[in-house]
Amino acid sequence: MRHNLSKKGATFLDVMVSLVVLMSFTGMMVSATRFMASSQQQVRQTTHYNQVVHNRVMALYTTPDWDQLAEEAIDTPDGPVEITYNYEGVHPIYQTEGMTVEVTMGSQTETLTLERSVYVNE
Amino acid sequence: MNKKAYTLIEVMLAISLSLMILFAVHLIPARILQSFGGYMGEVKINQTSQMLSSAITTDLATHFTIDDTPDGFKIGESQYVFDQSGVTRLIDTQAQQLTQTPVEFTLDDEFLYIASPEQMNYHAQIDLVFPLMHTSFEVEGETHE
Repeated sequence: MRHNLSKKGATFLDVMVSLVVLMSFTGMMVSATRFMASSQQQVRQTTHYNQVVHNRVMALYTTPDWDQLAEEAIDTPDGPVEITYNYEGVHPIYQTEGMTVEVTMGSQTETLTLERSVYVNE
Repeated sequence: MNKKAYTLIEVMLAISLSLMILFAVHLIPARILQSFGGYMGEVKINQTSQMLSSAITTDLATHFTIDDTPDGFKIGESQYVFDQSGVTRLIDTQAQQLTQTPVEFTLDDEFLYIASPEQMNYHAQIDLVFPLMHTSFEVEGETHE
């Protein structure tokens, strides 16, 4: 048994379908905007992080006593970058000293391994 | 519900839908384009920072002399020219555009500082420091070890 939609029913259905399509489109656009904003924030944070790591590593190679370094935090516009040093001592054969540097920003952690000649302290 | 009330609801619905369509068509794409512009700006700053860091670190590791020049400085054979269009690295006859945004530098006996001009957005700053240990720095014939 077939039932035909009345004119009002058809109009109501049209309106509902249009509403769903419009809401989906708006939702997609809002998601895209949020994605762009979060990506922008992520790139900005990466830039600050890379610059802090670059500047700190560069400075470390001119710092005389690696075994005296204490844990520190460097402020950036996106939050602090925490740096922990772990001195690994002098290699008896190669006469180099090594150190691992653990850099943390938010949930991101990176471990760097540095090595240099012991004669730099002289 | 009488016919007038039903018509009123229909009119209200039509106005609401029209406003939503206007909002969706005009504001959201504009906001996406704006976000995209901001995103690309951040990517450019990131690239600038990486390119400068990589180029100068490489040159400092392989050459041991920095010369102050009128429009920048020279590390070994690489000449860095700073102007309003950004930083260009000249090696022999080859020119490599490192940045497309203006950057300033300060050179003293111990460090080379590269930073964005102060008037730029605080969140989009370039701030790089290069120690000049093991290099000699020359200004107008005067050498600092």
